[in-house]
Amino acid sequence: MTEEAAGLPMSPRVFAILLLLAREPCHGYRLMQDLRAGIAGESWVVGPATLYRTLRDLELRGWIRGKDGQAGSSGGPPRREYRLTDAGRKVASAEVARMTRLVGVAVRQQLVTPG
Amino acid sequence: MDIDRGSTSLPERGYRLLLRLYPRRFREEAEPELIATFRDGWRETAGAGRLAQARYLRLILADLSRTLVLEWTPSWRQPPTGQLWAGSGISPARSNSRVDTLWQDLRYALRTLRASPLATVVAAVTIAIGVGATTTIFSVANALLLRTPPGIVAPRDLVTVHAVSPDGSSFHAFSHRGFEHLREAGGGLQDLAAWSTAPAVIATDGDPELLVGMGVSANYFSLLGARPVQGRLLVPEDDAGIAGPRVVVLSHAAWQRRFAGDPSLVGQVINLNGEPFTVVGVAEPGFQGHVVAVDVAAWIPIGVGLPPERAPELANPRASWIELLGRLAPGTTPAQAAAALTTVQAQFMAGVGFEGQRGVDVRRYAPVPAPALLPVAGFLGMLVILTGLILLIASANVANMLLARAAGRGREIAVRLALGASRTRLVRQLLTESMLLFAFGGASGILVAVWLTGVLSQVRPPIPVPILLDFSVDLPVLLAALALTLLTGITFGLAPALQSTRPDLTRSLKDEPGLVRVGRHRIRGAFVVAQVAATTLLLVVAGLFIRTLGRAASMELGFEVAGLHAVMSDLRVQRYTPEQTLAFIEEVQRQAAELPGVTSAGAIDILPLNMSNQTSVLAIEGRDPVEGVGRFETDFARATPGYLGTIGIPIVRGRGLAPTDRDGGPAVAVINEALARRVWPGEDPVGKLMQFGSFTEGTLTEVVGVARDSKYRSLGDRNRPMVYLAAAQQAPRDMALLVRTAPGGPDPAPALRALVRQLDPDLPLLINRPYREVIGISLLPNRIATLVAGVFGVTGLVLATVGLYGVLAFTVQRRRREIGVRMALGAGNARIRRLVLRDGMRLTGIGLLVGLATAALVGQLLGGLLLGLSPLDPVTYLGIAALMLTTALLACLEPVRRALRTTPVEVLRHD
Repeated sequence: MTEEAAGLPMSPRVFAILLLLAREPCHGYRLMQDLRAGIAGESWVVGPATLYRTLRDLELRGWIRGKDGQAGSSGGPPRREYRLTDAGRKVASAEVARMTRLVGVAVRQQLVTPG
Repeated sequence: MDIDRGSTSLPERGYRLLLRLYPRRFREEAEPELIATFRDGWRETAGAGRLAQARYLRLILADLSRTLVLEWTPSWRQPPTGQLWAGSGISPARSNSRVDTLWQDLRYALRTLRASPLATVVAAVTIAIGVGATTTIFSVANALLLRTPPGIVAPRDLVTVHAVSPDGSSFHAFSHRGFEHLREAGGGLQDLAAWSTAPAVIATDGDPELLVGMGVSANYFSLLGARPVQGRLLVPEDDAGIAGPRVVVLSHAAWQRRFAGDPSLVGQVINLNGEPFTVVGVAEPGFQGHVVAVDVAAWIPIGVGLPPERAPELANPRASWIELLGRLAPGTTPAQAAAALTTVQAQFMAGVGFEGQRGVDVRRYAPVPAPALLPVAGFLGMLVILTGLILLIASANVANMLLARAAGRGREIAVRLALGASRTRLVRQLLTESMLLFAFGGASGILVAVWLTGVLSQVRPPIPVPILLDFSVDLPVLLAALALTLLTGITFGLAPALQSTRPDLTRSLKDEPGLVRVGRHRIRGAFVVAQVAATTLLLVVAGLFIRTLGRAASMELGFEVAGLHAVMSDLRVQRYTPEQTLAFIEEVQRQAAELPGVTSAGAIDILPLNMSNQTSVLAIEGRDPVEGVGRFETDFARATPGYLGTIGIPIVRGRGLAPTDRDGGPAVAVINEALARRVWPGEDPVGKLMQFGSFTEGTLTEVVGVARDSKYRSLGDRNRPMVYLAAAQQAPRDMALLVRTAPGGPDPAPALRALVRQLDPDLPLLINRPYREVIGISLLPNRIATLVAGVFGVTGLVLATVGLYGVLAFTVQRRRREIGVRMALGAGNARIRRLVLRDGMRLTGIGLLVGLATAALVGQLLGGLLLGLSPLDPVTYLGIAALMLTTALLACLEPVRRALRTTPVEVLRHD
């Protein structure tokens, strides 16, 4: 499969979500918080509906899987918990590989020093 | 799961409410998740203070509005399964980012437009004027030419059927027997119905009121597909000729207005044209028959409506007075039907011994009657062009404004290009901005059109026929207006966007205006040229019409309008026989002439310049029966002896009509000079004989005098042949009275009204006013055109002036450095002034030439409306050229002043 067909390159936000889910499965609000807190200095402020739509996309692609969880401790509706699928893991690492290749080129052209 | 309502916070309840705005599909799958997320977030911010809460709610609202747009926009919605984009090359991430971009562009555009509110409002108003005017004219054209009147089913299969002369030049009605023959034969038609309009005076419950009635064959309603709202429509049993049942179907509007929607009216007898008619039903709301603009109030069986003396017409195959409307059989074309019906018609005509040939013309039904279709379409087409021009001028102005604004942002754009923004991206963003502007302007323009068409629908021209006009903006017009706005928005938005993102980085980055000449901003120049050209065209058209109206006021009519007063009624409605008509009108004329202040009175069956006329042929015995040799077509009218003297048309040879020219005596006629020249060139026509009417049936008529030429049909008449027949020998059906009053005398209207009332209390007076007002109607198209072209011309002039000023001011601003350098090098004020003026005048000059050339072409199309004024009228052309140049000079003044204020020091310090 070509990179483009696989959905690469992906948007930084999608990549961040995959990174966060690779750490541990979690539900929507937690993802919102973590995205706002940021990864390596980059952060994303997203609302619930925007996030939901992104997660729905990723789920449709088969990169993540959502599972209806138990009702929260404080009552209210149950939270859906999202986890990374194998496919998602593969795509994420393909993206990492893509970026690494780019970094390699940049290093060779002495645009950056390897850190 | 139990949701504790008590613990639901107010913001959460609000959020739940807002979630209902999403499409149901999205809501069903996402709602629990969204609420849970919202609640978690709200609970956490609750402890962080009001500021954090406000921030959170703002995030939620922004998120909501953004995703609402996305979810409700079908093309942006994600495909339902993951398989769809596999291999399609379109990844959801990408489509998502495209939407993000659009969203960003929109927000950015809004912000930019808000940053300069005045310019935004001016631009939007300008566009609104253009779109509003165009949409209004579209609506009128749509209502008159395109839209099918309400209540008609499958209008595409409807056809109008006419008898047509062999050369196809003239259309004729059918006789009742001819109609029955065609209907029985079928000839490719599913059904064929007859109709004929007639005045209808309803005199039940209140004052007599003249309405439009229509005599129809009983199948008229079923053919159109109309339905009753009360009672029934006509049935075949109603088609029983003159002795048939006296029944009437009322229009819904007439039923509501005249009878207050009384449901018990069906079955009752009302007084119609002085006779009892039983109301059998009321047509469905909105149904007004198949003719547009005519407010038909009552339908009666076609035979029943005839006055007794016209009874023989039902059986007479030569009496052609019936119009036909057909519905094509499935799979038949109008041409096939025409061919079939022509054969049928030929058999019929041979059967009744009718000489001459007539074919049958079948054409698709149009709401405007066939003879009026071309003039109406032509006139509306001209108005569409005029309004299109104003839209063009308005759009060019806005485009120039956008260009100026983009130029002001040159640095920002250059920076973004340098930072790697793609040009497409920037163009898209600028385009979004102009599209937004056009969307605002277009929406306001459509509102303007809705209001304007409402006003126009209420306008009632001064004609004695009830009309019904509905110009309201409907879906097709709305779509056309939207398409137009989009198209102009893209056209006039793209040019500035492309121009201002032209990669010319270094100059803009250095913010160095450089030695910019107008030539470098060719687009701006082109817009101004287009504006000047369009404005010139509008003003020339307006000028031509104004000159025409001026000429019409002083035009030689061939008679003296001042002091003439006209009285019109409709004697046919009162069932006057020709003898009664004549006796009545002669009595009115005699008594009117004796009224104080009245010097003379006369009557004629069709008044000149009243948008109506009748023609006939005359033949000269012993000559070849060829058109122009022994056979002539001419207008004619039946007049009383007092008519020519009263209107003031002098007799140049022989005598006028005399009281002794009565039935029993030899038939006499007065002809006009034009006819005399044509029929008897170089001879004295007095005493000559002619067959008036037709070869075999015409009356041998003696020419007793020649009257001076005068306008009859229209102000555009030139040498139109005319025959005045003696009314006393011609059995007139109806006549109009003209009286001449002495200057300074009292208004004769009250005395005339009293006079007519005293002679016949039941006669409704249609017109009782100065004749000048009556003929005003024939100038109505000119007045409308003058008004439209004039208003648009002046608007265009203002817009073009602003546009020219803007471009010059901009150029001066950009050339300040050059001007400063020139000044430092010793250029005098005169030189600098010339520099700026040269730019302005060059643009104006080109635009003016283009505009005048176009006007010369367009003027040829106006021909008939100009009443003989040359479409190349030098006064108009020179006047408009002078006006345009003067205005352009004025527009240059301020830029020149600004250029002269430039000081070398200031400019050089700037570097």
